[in-house]
Amino acid sequence: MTTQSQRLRETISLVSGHLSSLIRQVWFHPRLSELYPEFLFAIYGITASSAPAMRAAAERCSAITTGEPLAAWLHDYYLEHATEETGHEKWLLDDLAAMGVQRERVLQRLPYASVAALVGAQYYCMFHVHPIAYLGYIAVVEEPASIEFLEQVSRRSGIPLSTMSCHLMHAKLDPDHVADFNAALDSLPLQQHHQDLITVSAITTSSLLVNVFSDILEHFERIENPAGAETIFTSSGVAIASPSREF
Amino acid sequence: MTNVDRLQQAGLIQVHHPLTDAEAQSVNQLSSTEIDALISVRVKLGDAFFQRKVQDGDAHRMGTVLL
Ligand SMILES: [Fe+2]
Repeated sequence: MTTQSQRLRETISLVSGHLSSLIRQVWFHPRLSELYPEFLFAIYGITASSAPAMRAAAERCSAITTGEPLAAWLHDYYLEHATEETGHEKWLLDDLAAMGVQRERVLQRLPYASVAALVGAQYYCMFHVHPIAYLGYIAVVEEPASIEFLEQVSRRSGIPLSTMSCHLMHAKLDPDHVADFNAALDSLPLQQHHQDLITVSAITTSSLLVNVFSDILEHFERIENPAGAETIFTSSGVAIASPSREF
Repeated sequence: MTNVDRLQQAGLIQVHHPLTDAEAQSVNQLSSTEIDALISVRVKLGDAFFQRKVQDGDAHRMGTVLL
């Protein structure tokens, strides 16, 4: 019998061909060492939203008054996970700083619109549909790379491992994350509408991530054009963003 | 009409890149809501469609670490 997690993973793999090819284009980019800061900046926008979004999802679970049997479990799961994820965006700030992109510049730059759309879709679901949707998002975005792969990237591209702490820490801390998530999902008495929403959220997430990774690649192409490059982060020093706004 | 038929009609399955049996089985167990979502994001389905770019299990080794 197919488990709930197998069913979800099969659906994700069915729709993730385009996303995987774009992620691969980033990791195997012929100028990856120059592109890498822009890649980290995009990830920073996503990572910084994780713990706050999980806390918001937990609050939405508390607000459910319709006798939802999963509300208490989801509330605790999101809060526990939010604690685990808190501060992970600092690894990205450290990695970017180690490549010469100062913290202030990262914080002053507007996140990609595609990142806002990706995370914003989850806020819509948790506030206007059901906070269980965030499980579909986690299923897609939280799969660490292997340490061996990251070491190969470092050797091939010349990117020092000391500037890959975000990826390395996740590879070390979360090697069983996918298995743990699957086990948690399989322990839940999901009803059809829960299952539908988790799958729809995962499909939407995969589709919106295609835009994020397309943006990383397209923004990097702009560095050849000085007029369009002033906000792009690269390690070559030709186009490090200048502070343009303050909050 | 099966789910696979619906996706084919919506243009999500390429005639020259048919789904594998396992993929077709995955598709046919989805609910109509899930199929609607697939159609609305209009993503081309199936590993075969992008197989030439994603090689040798890279997809798994690369991960998608974004949290
Ligand atoms: Fe994390």
